[in-house]
Amino acid sequence: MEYDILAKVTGFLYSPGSLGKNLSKVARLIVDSFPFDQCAIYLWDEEHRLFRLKALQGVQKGSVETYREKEGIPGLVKKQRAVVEVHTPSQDDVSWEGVEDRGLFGFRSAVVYPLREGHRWHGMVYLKSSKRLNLPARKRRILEFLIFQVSCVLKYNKMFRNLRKAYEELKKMQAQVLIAERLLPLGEMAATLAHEIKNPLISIGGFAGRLARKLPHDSPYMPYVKNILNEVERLDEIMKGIVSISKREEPKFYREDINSIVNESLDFFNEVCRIHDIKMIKRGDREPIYAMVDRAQLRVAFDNLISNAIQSMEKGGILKINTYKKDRWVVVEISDSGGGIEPGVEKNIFNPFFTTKEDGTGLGLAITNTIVKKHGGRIDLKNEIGVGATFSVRLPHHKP
Amino acid sequence: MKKRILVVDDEEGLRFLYKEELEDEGYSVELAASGEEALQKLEKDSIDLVVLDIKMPGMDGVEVLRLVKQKWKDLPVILCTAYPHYKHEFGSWASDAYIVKSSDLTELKDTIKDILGKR
Ligand SMILES: Nc1ncnc2c1ncn2[C@@H]1O[C@H](COP(=O)(O)OP(=O)(O)OP(=O)(O)O)[C@@H](O)[C@H]1O
Ligand SMILES: [Mg+2]
Repeated sequence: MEYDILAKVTGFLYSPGSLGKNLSKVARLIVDSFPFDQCAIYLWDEEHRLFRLKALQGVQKGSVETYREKEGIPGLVKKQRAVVEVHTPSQDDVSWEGVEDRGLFGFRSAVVYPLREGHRWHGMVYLKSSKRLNLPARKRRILEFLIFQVSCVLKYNKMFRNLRKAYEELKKMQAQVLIAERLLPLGEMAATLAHEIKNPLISIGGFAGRLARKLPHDSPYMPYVKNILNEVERLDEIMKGIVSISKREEPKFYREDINSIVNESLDFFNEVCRIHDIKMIKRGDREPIYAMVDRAQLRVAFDNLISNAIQSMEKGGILKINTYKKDRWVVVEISDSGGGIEPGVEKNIFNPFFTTKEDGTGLGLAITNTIVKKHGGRIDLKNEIGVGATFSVRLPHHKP
Repeated sequence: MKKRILVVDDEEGLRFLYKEELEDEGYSVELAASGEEALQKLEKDSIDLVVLDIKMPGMDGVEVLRLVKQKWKDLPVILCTAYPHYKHEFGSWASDAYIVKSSDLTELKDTIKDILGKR
């Protein structure tokens, strides 16, 4: 009979299936094999610092969902870090030696076992009996052994969860490394490949251009030629993009006023904004804000962000640019009122070749991100769906 | 007298394109497929300007530029490259102009006109 209990509990605890289910089976076994009317197993929630009911077997009365750290008999167990055995004069009593616990209502005796390992708490087992309890020493030892087994299982469970968390994190990190690795060889290959492709491309485009000039304007073949020219230009843009994210192009850093670069970029888009009915608002520090940057590359970065913003506001809107110093950063914020980026799209926008635009290369943000990273900075996105997107570029500030 | 331009590029299609385009502009155009061939042509013919590709198998454009400038100090050379990042490396230290190749040859034509006009 006793051997039976031990064999069973081991079977329950180490069987596959959810922890909650296995603990329920153990609780059932305790109620069936010992003179208790209720067995409640609680798990310790470290974050909220309370015990939470995980499994309950036997009668339902007087069951309590959670116990705060210092609440009731479990609170006492937590404090004393030892088993507490309670006997009350009648079933109506809900306090024992000054400790109140509504879980005692309807019972005469209770035993609460801590489930812990040194300072690390896993939970507790709350056993109640409606009659006064008198457990023979031998039975008590078996019960203790059983509880010890539960404790072990909880420990393994926690270890397993930690392991799984570490694994998930590792997997996430690996994904990031993969992206970086995908970009690297791309960059290596790009420079060579781009050179191989560029020359034939110039030939194609050059001769198509000659045709366009030599053909009569109303020639029916004109659209064919125009098509070739457009596609060549697109390919050329893509190749330029690939070359510029390739590793070979190292930035040359000089101390520059970020405001002046931003303003140049805004000047460049002034006309486009006017045509598309976009209001441009420049805010922030007027005086120079310095950072060590490659002026030409940073201009490309701002151009890409501003052109994305403008493209998101086809029917007009507001383009807000804010530049300021914050701690050791120079921050440039570019916001649009173009409705933001769809949830499914957002995670991809920095990937090379990802685009939702008919004629996009999908390299704009990939390039921008690479440039900003090379400068020791980073890009943050505040995406307000239905409202607009704000891209903030942070660059290390350079003291004058 | 027509001005003579020597175009040096390892890509046949490009040599052909440059020839057609520059002849339309009223120049006479000589072609060379390599640095070695270019140097031979320069020895034989009188050339007014060289359009030189940087990236070529064998002797590359920078090497050719060095040899040309050693021997014909005043001969103008326009360096061409597929992508702008060479610019930092070679700058304009020895060539008379530096151009990023494009299927639109306007920039090249303007530069040639500019340089030859000054002489
Ligand atoms: N301000 C923005 N508002 C809404 N969507 C944006 C914004 N900026 C970027 N996106 C989304 O991110 C995608 C990727 O942008 P990215 O600049 O990399 O490429 P692209 O703009 O599509 O192509 P290209 O830059 O060559 O024109 C865009 O296609 C668009 O879906
Ligand atoms: Mg873009």
